[in-house]
Amino acid sequence: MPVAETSGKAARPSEDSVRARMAEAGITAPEECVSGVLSNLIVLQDHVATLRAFALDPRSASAMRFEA
Amino acid sequence: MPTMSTPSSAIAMAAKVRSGEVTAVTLATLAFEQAEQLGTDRSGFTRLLRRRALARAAAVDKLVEAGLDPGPLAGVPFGAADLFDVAGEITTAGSRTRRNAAFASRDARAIALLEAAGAVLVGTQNMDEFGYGFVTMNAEYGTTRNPHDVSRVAGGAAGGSAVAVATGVVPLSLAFDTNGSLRVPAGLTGVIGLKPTYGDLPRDGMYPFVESLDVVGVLGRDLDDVALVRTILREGAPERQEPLRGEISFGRLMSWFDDNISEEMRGPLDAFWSRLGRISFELPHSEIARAAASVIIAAEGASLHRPALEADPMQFEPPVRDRMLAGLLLPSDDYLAAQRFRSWIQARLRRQFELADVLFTPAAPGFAPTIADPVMTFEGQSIPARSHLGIYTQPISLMGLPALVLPLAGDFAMPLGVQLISAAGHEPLLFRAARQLIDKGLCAVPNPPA
Repeated sequence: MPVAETSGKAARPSEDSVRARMAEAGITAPEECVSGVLSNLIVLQDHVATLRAFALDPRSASAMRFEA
Repeated sequence: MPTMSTPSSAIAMAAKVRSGEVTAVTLATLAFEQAEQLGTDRSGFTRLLRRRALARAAAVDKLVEAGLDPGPLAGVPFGAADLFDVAGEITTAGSRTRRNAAFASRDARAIALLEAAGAVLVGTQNMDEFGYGFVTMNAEYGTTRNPHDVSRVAGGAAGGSAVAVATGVVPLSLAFDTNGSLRVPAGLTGVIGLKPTYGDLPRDGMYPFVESLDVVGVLGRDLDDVALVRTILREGAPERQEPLRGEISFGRLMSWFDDNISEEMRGPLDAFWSRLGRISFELPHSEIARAAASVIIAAEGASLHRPALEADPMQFEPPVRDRMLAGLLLPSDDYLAAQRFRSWIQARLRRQFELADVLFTPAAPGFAPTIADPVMTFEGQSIPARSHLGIYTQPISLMGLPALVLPLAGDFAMPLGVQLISAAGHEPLLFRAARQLIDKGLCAVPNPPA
């Protein structure tokens, strides 16, 4: 069951933060990729915010069950 | 508008081969001729397997000559999306990054099963790179055109497989569905597409994209053909659910599945709904399901391709590369939250089908977008079709439910598809519902212009 509403708010990524995060992740990508990665990361962040706004108690549902 | 003559169904073809009325070699040869005449962009095929297919077709003909039965798909030519292994060939999965990959050592299980039933694989078909897209616009292998208007996209990711069937080059294609990969092009090109319950059909030898969502599926022009292929691929496994008897109740899903429908879809869908009693339901949390599916795809797809992204990200198409690089930056907690939500909503959904046997939605928001400007309208904004055409299929993927796409009957400028959805394991009910809709004249497979 859902147990809590969370803000789901997180700082928006920027081109600088994308560069830093890719470096931390061990990814070397040319500069021309940065703006595209940023756009996609913002979309993903919106999806994550949607998910976090409906926070489930981690004990209420398994994250490791795949069959329908 | 002139139309192509209606191609024969797979079942009818097989009957003719078994009776000796036509040979399997003739059927394969006709498929090659038509594919070559149309070319890669209009046939959906990016690789023809002439030598292999003619040898296999000759073997089928020899069985017939010897008075033996080659199987229920005797001599039926079929294609497969280029992510199913074909022995001795490179499985490209639509990607330049796999141009020098090792040859497959054996056929994918699904291909082997169809050929054991007498079918003949004639080639492999175009797709979005690694299945990450809804348009089949591939920088390496080309754009697949919609046969109902060649200036428009076929939809994707398995657009080549849908077009090969829509044009009648083959009566059947093996395809895949991660998030709408076969349902979107089925809807946009006017063919029948089955996305089974997650885990129902064998994935061995199918290049993965998102393991917790990927399924093997089937595209065809004839409902009985699609049902037969499903039966063959299940290898005699018992149905997971007791068959439901009696009258089938239909319900239209609203809210998320009613928002963003284009004008060209709304009228025909309303008319279809009226004929089915105008019952509607909500499927709560569909937007969250779509969000969860997007997070899972980004994380799993990126993880799968991390070595290639590390080696040379510029080998990927830019839209796919940028989506995957972003996926690599997702925290694991968000991925696990998405999987947790998936598990939760699947359990909750079982109750939904106590209210209606079959739910339906559009397969895609409207007509296929143009190739020149592949966009669609979402919440009043013009956005890329490549990443959004699956807005009505994505939540169903997360829920793991089976779905069958059928073309709406009517004289429309382009095909319009409806997605029928049942509880997990109730594919026989979906086929019964689809038969009812076809027999009532509510759904029909259109012929593309000649």
